[in-house]
Amino acid sequence: MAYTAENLTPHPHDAHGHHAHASYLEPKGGVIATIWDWATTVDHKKIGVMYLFTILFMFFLGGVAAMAVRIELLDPVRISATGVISGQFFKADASNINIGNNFYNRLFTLHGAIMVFMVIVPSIPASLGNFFLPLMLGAKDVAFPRLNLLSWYIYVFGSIFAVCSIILGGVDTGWTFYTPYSTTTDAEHPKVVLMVLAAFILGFSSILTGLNFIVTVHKLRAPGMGWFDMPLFIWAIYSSAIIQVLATPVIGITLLLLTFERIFRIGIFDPALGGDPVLYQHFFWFYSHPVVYVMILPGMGIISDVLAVQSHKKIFGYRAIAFASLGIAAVSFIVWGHHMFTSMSELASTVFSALTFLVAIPTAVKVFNWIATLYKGSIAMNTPMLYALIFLFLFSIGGLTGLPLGALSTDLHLHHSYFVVAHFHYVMMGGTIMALMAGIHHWWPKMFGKMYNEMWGMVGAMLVFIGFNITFLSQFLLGTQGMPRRYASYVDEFQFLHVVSTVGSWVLFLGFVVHFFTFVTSLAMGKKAPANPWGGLTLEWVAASPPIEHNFEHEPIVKSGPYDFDTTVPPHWDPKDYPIPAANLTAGGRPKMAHSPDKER
Amino acid sequence: MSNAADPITNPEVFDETDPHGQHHHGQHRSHVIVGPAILRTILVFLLFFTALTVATAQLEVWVEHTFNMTLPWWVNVFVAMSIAVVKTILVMAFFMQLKYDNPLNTVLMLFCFFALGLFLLFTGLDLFSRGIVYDFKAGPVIMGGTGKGVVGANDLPVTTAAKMKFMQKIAEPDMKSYLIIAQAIEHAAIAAEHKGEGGVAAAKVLSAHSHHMMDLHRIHALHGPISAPAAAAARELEEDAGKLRASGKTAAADIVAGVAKSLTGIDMKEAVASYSVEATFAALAAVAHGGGHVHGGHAANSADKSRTRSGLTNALDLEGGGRVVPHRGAAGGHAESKGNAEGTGERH
Amino acid sequence: MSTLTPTSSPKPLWAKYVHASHFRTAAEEFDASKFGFWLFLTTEVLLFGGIFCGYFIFRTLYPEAWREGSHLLDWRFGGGNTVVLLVSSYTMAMSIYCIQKNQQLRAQINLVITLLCGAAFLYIKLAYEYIPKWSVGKRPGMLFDYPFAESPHLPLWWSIYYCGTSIHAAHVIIGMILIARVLYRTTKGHYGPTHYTMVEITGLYWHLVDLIWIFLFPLLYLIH
Repeated sequence: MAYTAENLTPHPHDAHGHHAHASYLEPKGGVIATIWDWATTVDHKKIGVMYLFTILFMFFLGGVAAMAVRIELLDPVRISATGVISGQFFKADASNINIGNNFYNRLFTLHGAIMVFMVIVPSIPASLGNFFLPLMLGAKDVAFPRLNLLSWYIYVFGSIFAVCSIILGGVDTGWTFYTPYSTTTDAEHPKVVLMVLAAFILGFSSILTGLNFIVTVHKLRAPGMGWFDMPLFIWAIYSSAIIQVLATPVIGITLLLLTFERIFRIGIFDPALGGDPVLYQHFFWFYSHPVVYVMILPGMGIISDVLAVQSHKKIFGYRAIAFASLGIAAVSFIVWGHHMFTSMSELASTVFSALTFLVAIPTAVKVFNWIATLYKGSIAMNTPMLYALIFLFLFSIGGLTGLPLGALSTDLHLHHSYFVVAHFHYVMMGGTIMALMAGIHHWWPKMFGKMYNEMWGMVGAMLVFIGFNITFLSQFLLGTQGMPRRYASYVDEFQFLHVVSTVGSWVLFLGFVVHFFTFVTSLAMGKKAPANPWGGLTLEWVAASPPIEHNFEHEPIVKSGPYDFDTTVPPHWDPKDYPIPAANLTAGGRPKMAHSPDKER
Repeated sequence: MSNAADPITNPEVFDETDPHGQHHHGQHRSHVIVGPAILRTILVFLLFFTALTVATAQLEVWVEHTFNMTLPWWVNVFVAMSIAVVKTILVMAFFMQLKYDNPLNTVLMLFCFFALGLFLLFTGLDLFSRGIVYDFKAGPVIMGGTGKGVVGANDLPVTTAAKMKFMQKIAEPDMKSYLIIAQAIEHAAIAAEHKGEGGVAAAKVLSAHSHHMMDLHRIHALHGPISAPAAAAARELEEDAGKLRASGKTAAADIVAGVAKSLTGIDMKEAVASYSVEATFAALAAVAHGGGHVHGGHAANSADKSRTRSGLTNALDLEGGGRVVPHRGAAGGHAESKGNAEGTGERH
Repeated sequence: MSTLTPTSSPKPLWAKYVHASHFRTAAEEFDASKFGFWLFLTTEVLLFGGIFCGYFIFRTLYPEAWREGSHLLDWRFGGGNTVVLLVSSYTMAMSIYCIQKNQQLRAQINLVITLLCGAAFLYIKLAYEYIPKWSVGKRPGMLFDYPFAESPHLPLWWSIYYCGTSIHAAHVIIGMILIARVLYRTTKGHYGPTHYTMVEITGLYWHLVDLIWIFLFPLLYLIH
């Protein structure tokens, strides 16, 4: 019944020596040799791990900026920033306001730019995607391993550019770099140009990663794995890779033209010279809207996998979810104008509004299918499952609040208010980051061979959930009451909700601190993880925990679907690793089938 | 050509008994080799279509002139783009071998062009429906986009600022005298044309010389005082006369030498005082627009020559008569000037 | 049963090529590389797509400026450059053919001709277009200094012209670097009938550069 190792021809002569069976984390020599090994590796697993830790570090940096923004917003007028500088905390002073506002502008730009370009876009594809795409396909590596390493270095290089821009004083244009402000702002050329170039460079990293993934999925599937035998995580990564390849070059040319406009004043975005600043917005959002689906699709893929495995149940509507992923990717290219309703002609705004509603369809298909998957499943309440449930709740709120923003008439009032801020934090953080956390916890045993402390994991998850909701639910209310975004000062009526939001951000931060300690203690002294702690059926659970350098001892052959829990026993699975309530076990100790016997498909 | 079940010639067939490809050690299926005959044919077609693109563009101009009509803008775009698409298909199918390749690659490119089309379509949908505006919402629309409001433009459109800057430059005394000399030589060239065989040859030399002086690149590049333009021009003309004499064209040489001598006799003070900047600018515009570049010594074809020459002459005619030559050197008539190298009249 | 492996004693590098271990066969590696590169070409097309979008928008808004600007360009240089690039595309495709037939010297000659064509393109562009134009003030946006403009939106035309052609020229330079590298490695015997992936890929890039120019030429030089 189980597939893989037994049925295969013997492995050809192994020229790699004893290291072939050591885990990929095994150091190859002294400190210098290990550092060199990691710096020059073409192993997708090592690259994925490097991405993961860098992204988490960038997340921390962006999060600190966010905390600073929220502290600034504790008081309607007082400028905490200059208070820090002048030592007079909580003192409002008219002369400080300009400096304070300037500093605030730089802070939220910093937060936005880091979070969008350096954290969320690469978050799941580059880290978990890199690690698990080949494993799930049964391949030894991605199609172009050296290109993968190049992607990583381009990412690091671009991030350094961004950090330099920040160190030089930072950009105050907002992460969207809208013209004409970005082309005329007093900030000296180097700062704006550096940040813009950073985003340009990071775009290449994204393109090359997407390219690699598409070719890998087409060309390197294990024998017997057709398109509809792949885990849904792969479908999601594949769809987002298509978006990455098609949309990212447009931000490239946009930023290039922005740089020319700024340095040479060529005039294409300058109405005084015949250009059009809204043209910049079109160029910018043609990429930036599809990229939000690059952010969410891999997260959705993780949720599909986590829900199915952690409830030990076949995913409901596999093909529907697979095609919905492609559908979301396709529709994402024709809706970008909904970021610009207040800038465009009425005709275009109406068309874009109507098209925006289309996106809800494949998204809803997915959400309902996930819920149906949980129904009658053997749900394990652990951290990944908890995060998946959190995702369902938060992403639904985020998605539903997108509707008043997609509807033209309501958006005219909500545009540039805190409602927008709350909406995108619900989908980006409540969606992608929660999915990332789910994925990290779900695959942590596989990646590092260690278990984490389940109780503290769940404590962290609950703190994150509670903190997140306090922080951002209040912002919906602020938005509908009229609080604009990107303002350092506001009218007194909004203060209460702002204070609530800030306190929520502290709880949120605490939750992530808990996770940080969970991860560190797991790496330092976690229990050794079995190969398949959750009883998953996809190929990554065939590999050892952590996997060997070449991923699999023998090339696996797929003989069952990825979620056929009702007909297949998971490989390497020991029921003791996966505590199922006794009521759900048969007399022989195996889990009962999730469906009633008389309702066989 | 390829046996469907054979993994070597048809790698789409996966051989379960040999997942690592051990049996045939990674040998290639026979790759399609596109031969030189096909490549050459395609190149010929591509060159043909390039010529066709240019020809259709000229044809449009001819049609507009002959039938005195304006073709709608989309004719030019549609024809040019259709030919470009055909060329693209040829390059992609044969040079890039899409025809012989996995169809997935073709699908990919089609998808890409489709995405690009969506981009252009929706952006255009916004940018070109801006005019649909409710009257009560719009204020008066002022045609702008000329750079007028931009910092550093002196509240002038960019193109106007460039024009003023240039006119100021040619209004400087040094530049004025330089251009007067150029105009004088041009006058002499026109006059020389009527003096028989030798005159024609002399006219060629003189005209080339004046065109060389009126070259826009040279004028832009001239910085600092132009010392004694009359003397310098006279010297060069003397050399040209010597060359003509050496090649046996004595009549021409005499004429050129005569011009060189009379150059130094021009009363520069009076000429500069009565000089018209606007007229010179118009003449320069005629030179700049008519016939493309005016490289040093490069004589345009006779039609261009007469256009530019009469333009120059008309505009630089210092003997009065107020005909400012319109741009593009579309000057119909001949010069009214007396072809006098010493002309010092006024021009408006 | 390939008769393509040479029988003389030292095996050339291309015959000794072993494909990367994560691919099943060398054929698969070749196909995957080609597919991957076509994906990259789509990104290049979309990169230029931004320029074409800007062109399309501004041509519709300012047709007189576009007409005037196009007249200020000399179609003979544009056409010449088109011919140069088409010929270079041909020689590039020929070099692939020669490698497939193991005609190493002819392949190198074709690659050299391709390089020379690329250099010719850049020279024509620089010496006969960019430098003469820039020096008389035909420059983009606020740098504009040409005194004989009729349409006040002419500076915008020059912006699109310079952006489009300079980014294209940058791609020509990148293509030439790739071709030079391939040429060098060909002299060392890296490419042959059973292994010529890099030559094929460089060819694809060069053809794309040619394709972009095929579109830029009529759009920029042939407006009436």
